[in-house]
Amino acid sequence: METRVEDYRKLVKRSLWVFHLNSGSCNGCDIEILNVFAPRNDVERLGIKLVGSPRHADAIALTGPVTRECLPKVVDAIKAVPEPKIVLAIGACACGGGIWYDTYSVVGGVKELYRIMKEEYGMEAPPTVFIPGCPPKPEAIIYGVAVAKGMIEPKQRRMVYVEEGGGDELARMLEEVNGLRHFSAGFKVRRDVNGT
Amino acid sequence: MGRIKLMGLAVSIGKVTERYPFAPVEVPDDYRGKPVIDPGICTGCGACASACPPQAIQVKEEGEFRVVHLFLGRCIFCGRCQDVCPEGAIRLTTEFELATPNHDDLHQFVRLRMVRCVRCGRPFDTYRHLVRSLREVPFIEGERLLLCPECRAKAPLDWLEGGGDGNEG
Ligand code: SF4
Ligand code: SF4
Ligand code: SF4
Repeated sequence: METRVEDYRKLVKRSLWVFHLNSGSCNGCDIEILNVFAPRNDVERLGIKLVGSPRHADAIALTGPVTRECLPKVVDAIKAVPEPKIVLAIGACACGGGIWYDTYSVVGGVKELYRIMKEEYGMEAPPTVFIPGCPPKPEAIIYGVAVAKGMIEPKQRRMVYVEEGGGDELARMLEEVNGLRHFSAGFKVRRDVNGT
Repeated sequence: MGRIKLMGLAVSIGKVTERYPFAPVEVPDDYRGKPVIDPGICTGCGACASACPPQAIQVKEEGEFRVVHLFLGRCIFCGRCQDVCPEGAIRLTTEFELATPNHDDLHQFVRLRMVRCVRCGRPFDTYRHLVRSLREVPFIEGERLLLCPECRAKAPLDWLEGGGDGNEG
């Protein structure tokens, strides 16, 4: 998916026009998106602008976990954005379903949305920038947009740790156990449970 | 308010727009940003997984390993994991620049080796957690310590039946 975002960066050297698509968000993320356009952060200085129709947009700012009710509308809106397009998945809900990821009434984030789009609508997943947070700080959203536009290299990396060691660990542990022993279970279990 | 007065006010307040992303932005010290597990300390106890409201942290068992899997994309930065972690292994940093085009980058995995039960051979607990438990409850003796919970539950029955002295496990 990363390469696709890079392709996109080559295509869109222009200002990014964004269509704000709320797919069942709690409004937290939406308020942060509005904050981004307020004087303190004022992203219009970077040429980013909210538009009223997906047909005018280059990017979709998707918030919310995509409820089942609005799934067809979300798909329609993504379909309506002309190529090349990019999706900014804003907030924990859009990135991974958030606290509703396994509830009955939501699809649960853009990954699931893309799977359904592929299986049921035959659409390819658009390049996506994930912006985690609940809600993300306005600066975090700006950072995400800067990543989408290729102004900044993302610094978040996958981290995998595998513990080394095996059998000798056990010996060391038993030694440690013996060192700690201060109580000896040298008792006998009484066998005359039926008597006395 | 007259126009002249308003202009005077605007000039006195000056520019409020931050230069971010061209200049760094200040974050308070107690800002709840990206949680990071210190893999050298984590014992795989799973306390964080049970406290995490969106189950962004999940603890699973994969063969010889217990895997603590933190998925940042779903994290709501509540800090409960930090509150409950008995080792202080998981901490919320002030990092908020997490946006990435690659979904795989949002994961952290800590794979910890597990001990096999001496009776049934099932891996049942991590070495680190067992050693840690011993510091807290040092009276569980010898081999019984290396029994999985099921076998440990059966062990007292075996003493009753076999009439052992309780040290045989
Ligand atoms: S990520 Fe958090 S703030 Fe944003 S819509 Fe979901 S619950 Fe609301
Ligand atoms: S901060 Fe909250 S949501 Fe995030 S991993 Fe910790 S407990 Fe889970
Ligand atoms: S609570 Fe702490 S020690 Fe236990 S699994 Fe989570 S990070 Fe590791």
